[in-house]
Amino acid sequence: MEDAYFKVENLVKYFALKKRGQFFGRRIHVHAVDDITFNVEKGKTYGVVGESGCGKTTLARLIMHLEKATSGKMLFKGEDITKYNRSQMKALRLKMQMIFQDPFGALNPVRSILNIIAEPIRVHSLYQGSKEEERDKVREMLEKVGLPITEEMLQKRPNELSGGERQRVGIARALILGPEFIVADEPVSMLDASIRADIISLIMKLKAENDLTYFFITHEFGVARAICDRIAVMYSGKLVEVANALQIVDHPTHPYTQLLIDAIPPLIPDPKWGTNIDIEGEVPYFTEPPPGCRFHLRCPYIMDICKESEPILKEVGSKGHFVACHLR
Amino acid sequence: MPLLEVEDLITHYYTEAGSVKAADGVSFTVEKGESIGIAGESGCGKTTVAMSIMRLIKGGAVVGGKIRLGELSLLDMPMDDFRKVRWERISLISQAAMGALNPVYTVGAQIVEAIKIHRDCSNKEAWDRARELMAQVKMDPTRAKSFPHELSGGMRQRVMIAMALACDPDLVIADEPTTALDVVTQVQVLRLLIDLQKRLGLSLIYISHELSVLGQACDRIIIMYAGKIVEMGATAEIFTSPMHPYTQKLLSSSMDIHSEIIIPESIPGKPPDLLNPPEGCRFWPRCLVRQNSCEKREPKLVLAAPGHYVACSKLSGDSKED
Amino acid sequence: MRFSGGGKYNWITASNQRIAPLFSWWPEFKKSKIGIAGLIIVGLMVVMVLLAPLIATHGPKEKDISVGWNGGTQFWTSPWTNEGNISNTSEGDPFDDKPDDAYPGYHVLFQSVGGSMQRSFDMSNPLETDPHLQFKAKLISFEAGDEVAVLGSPDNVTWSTIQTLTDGDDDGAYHAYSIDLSTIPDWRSRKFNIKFEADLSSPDAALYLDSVKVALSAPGYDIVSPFDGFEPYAQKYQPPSSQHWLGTNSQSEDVWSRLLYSGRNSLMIGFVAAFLITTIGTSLGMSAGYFGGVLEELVMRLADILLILPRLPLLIVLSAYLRPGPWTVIMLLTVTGWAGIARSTRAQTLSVKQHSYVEASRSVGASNLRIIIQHILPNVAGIVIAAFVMEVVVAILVESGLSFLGLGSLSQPTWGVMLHFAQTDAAFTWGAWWWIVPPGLCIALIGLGFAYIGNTLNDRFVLRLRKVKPPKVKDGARQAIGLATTVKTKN
Repeated sequence: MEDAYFKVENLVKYFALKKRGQFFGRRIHVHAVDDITFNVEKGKTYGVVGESGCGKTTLARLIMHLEKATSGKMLFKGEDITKYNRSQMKALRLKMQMIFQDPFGALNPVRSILNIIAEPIRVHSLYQGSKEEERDKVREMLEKVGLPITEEMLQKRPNELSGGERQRVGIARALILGPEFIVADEPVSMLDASIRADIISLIMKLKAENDLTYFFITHEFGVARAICDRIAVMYSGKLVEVANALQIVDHPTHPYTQLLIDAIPPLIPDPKWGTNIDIEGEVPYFTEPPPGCRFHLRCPYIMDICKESEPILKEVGSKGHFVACHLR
Repeated sequence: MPLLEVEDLITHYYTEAGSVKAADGVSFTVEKGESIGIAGESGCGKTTVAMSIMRLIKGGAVVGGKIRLGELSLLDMPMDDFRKVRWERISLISQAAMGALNPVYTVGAQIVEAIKIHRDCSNKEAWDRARELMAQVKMDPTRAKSFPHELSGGMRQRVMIAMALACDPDLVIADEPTTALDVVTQVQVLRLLIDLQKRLGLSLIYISHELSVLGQACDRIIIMYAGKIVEMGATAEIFTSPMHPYTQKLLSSSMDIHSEIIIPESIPGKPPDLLNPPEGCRFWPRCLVRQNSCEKREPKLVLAAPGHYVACSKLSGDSKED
Repeated sequence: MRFSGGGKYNWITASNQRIAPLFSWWPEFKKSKIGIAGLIIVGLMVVMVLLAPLIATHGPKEKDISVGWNGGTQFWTSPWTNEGNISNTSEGDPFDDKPDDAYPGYHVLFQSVGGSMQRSFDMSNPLETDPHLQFKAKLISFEAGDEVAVLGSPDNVTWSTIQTLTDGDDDGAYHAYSIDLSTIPDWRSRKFNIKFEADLSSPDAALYLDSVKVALSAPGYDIVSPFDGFEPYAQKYQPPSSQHWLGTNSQSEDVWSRLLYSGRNSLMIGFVAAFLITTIGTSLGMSAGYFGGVLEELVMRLADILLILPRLPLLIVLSAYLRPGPWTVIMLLTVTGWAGIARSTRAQTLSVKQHSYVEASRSVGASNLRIIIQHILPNVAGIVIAAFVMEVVVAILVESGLSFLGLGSLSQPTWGVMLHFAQTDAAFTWGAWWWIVPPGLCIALIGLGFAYIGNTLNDRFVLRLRKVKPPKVKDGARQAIGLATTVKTKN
């Protein structure tokens, strides 16, 4: 197997829960990301699907070094970047960038579009002193993401743009340094259904044009299927199923994956839709994970062994399709 | 006689730049026990319609039209009388549900407050009713003493539903109730709403930008665009034979996981500025089947098939001399 | 939660409206009448004190000692040295109000054998005046040979006779005498002695002496104190006149000029203290909010302590240990005042920090300093500027309070210092309202002006309250603001 482009090995992140005013004593920890391992191939889109609370956003932040990993390793093109310090990270950021979920919150409301998009090049002092070159670069980016390159546009503030336009600005900002690896944290989930398609096409187009590799996070399977080559389903800090996108949609093996797919409202009115999903049931976060499978409390196929031992990701069925379930 | 009749509703918001014509001549009816969906992009006016019915418009006013609930004319009533209608006959589950719960009171207390404002009953009776409501929304009644931050998003939404049902209303307006929720929670809440509606015989107005969700929950669907209704009809019809170009676009941009098409189509362009709406068809700049006459003439909502209304010059065969 | 509102559903701003960035605040600001009023008040006062050198009628410490001398406050004891048969007596009550005397004098009785009475006066005033000895005397039963001599000497060595009282002046009533002393050479002495020497042999002869004064000015300005020294005064506690627009104070200083110069100091201290408070408070607050951890705990606990301790008593105690002066005041104000703004800045920083754009900057690789200055600060600026304006008011008021208690910078006067001296020098008793009201009024006005400005800034830019007037609604349509109520329609 070729050297993986981006590899994560046994990554763990625990958050300490601080009781108010507690200075001493043992803290309890939330197991946000619990021993995750995966590879991302160059030029492909790797998607992580899960509901809120499963730890996917934490995973994205760990990759971008916005959080420090508790243990485990991250390797980018063979190099261990887990313990990179500030200056090493700064150099790395030229290659790795992030697109954020909230189109409104991701842009500073008091700055102009020009300043927002130009910030990365200013931080890295790329076009030192040449305002003209900066402007040209910003305009180039705006064109790339399908926004007008007029002077008026450059001077606008985020609140004058629609949600879709703001997200495009966010994408422009992420791309301006010419990165090769993009982490996208639910970039379309706060947009209207009709705008999502737009942004999704844009993301795909940019990938092809700039030879990007994506790490894509979402809670919607439909979006994941549209963009991703490989999909991993995450639950309570662990990966429960990993497979190629079309594979996983056509043959969802893990019960949770099945649940996620069942939960999508079909375009044809179906009175039976949703009737098999119990009203109670949400993604738990654990401070002391149970000994068995983390999904066992909600699983319709529960067996005794599920309560006792935790299943490991194993290859099942077709090649490259991994599931962590005692049913297999 | 329909339960709710909205006739030619016109609502404006006042801003420093002028009046925004948020809802511009909206008319529809809701029968008893029926659930209606209102779909459209953000800014099309669907929330405005809901707020107008509840008379909760802030920073603006209803400047025209009539709303009738049975025999009552809602917009003509003095406020004191309307308060008896609001919540007792029509209630609202609003978009900002998460923020609508006061963090310093328990959820039970907040439901009780909603009950006691409208019904004369003792504290005990109110708490009993509150627990009953919580059971109806499939929440553990012992959690009535929890605070909002102790509950998950789905649970909080269910508390909101319980509050909306507190006075046994005839009509419930649900304004994007599941937008902020996860996929699975969305199903749960949606299923709950559908069941409640059928069981209690409520009428429901369900507002959302996701057509697929409405397809599961509603008997009839209204599509709004830029303050106007562009199509209205039975759910099955809208999904199988959508007539208005905008509806078709909305459907094709919804993601269907089982279809062959992987990446849905998008609709280029933006909705028009409602400070000065254009004179002709409002969808005209983005329409792929437009004619020249569409720019100047505003199409009227006409009956195109049984129970199916469309506002499109091309479809209703309007020609230049009309 | 993921749902952070504002983005999708804020379609009113999706139109061509711009929310005013910091530097185009003016069009927004000028819509508020109160804000403009505040701006005008403050503007006028600032201009006024800045133009002090031009519009003050006198120098800042100039004392108006044009003509005349004053004896100062009254004393009831007599520093005359008496010898022989002279006693104080009361013919009638010497402390009666005598309408024709500025000072009630005391009676001296020379009887029978006689004696002498002597004291010295400081007559060294530099002004050209006519020294006159003035007294009232009543001679009783003087006969030939009875004589009282009035003598003067510049040095208690060489005596010259100024006047002689003999039986010819006896008519049983008080006579007023005014005798020119300038004939005596060297009369401008610091210890000019006046002696009354009596030589009375008749058994019933008596001399009553009253209201002995040495006047050193033109008529009308007289009185001498019964003790050493003259105090240069002419214009103490003078009411407003064309010469002194706001009158004078107890030191003969022009109140109007002092008001202007003190205003400079008041405003300077206020602004500088507010600036320092804001800068320090904002920096600490932002750092605490952004970095969290130990730094946050430290700063916040320190701020808590400072907020709990009552400010004025604390200042009073601290100023007792330090050298008075304007910079001491500024420093004290700063040290006790930064806590409030640090608190609110930290809270705002915490809220700003949540936004994704801060994370986005971090993921781009921006340094913490850059993020704080470029992202946090502009979003905190609204609070900071409004707070700065209010801090000026508070600083001026606290400084005035401190100065009023005498703990401020007495050398560089401020309005508070003026009030302090007004109080210690009994302006109320003198009825010198022109000394009390103007500085107090100025403090109140500047406080009001800044409060108006600060309030407007707070409402418009921090709380973003805007009143939008609904347009005039056509007849037949429903009128409402807020909840839709009704107007009878024509249908």
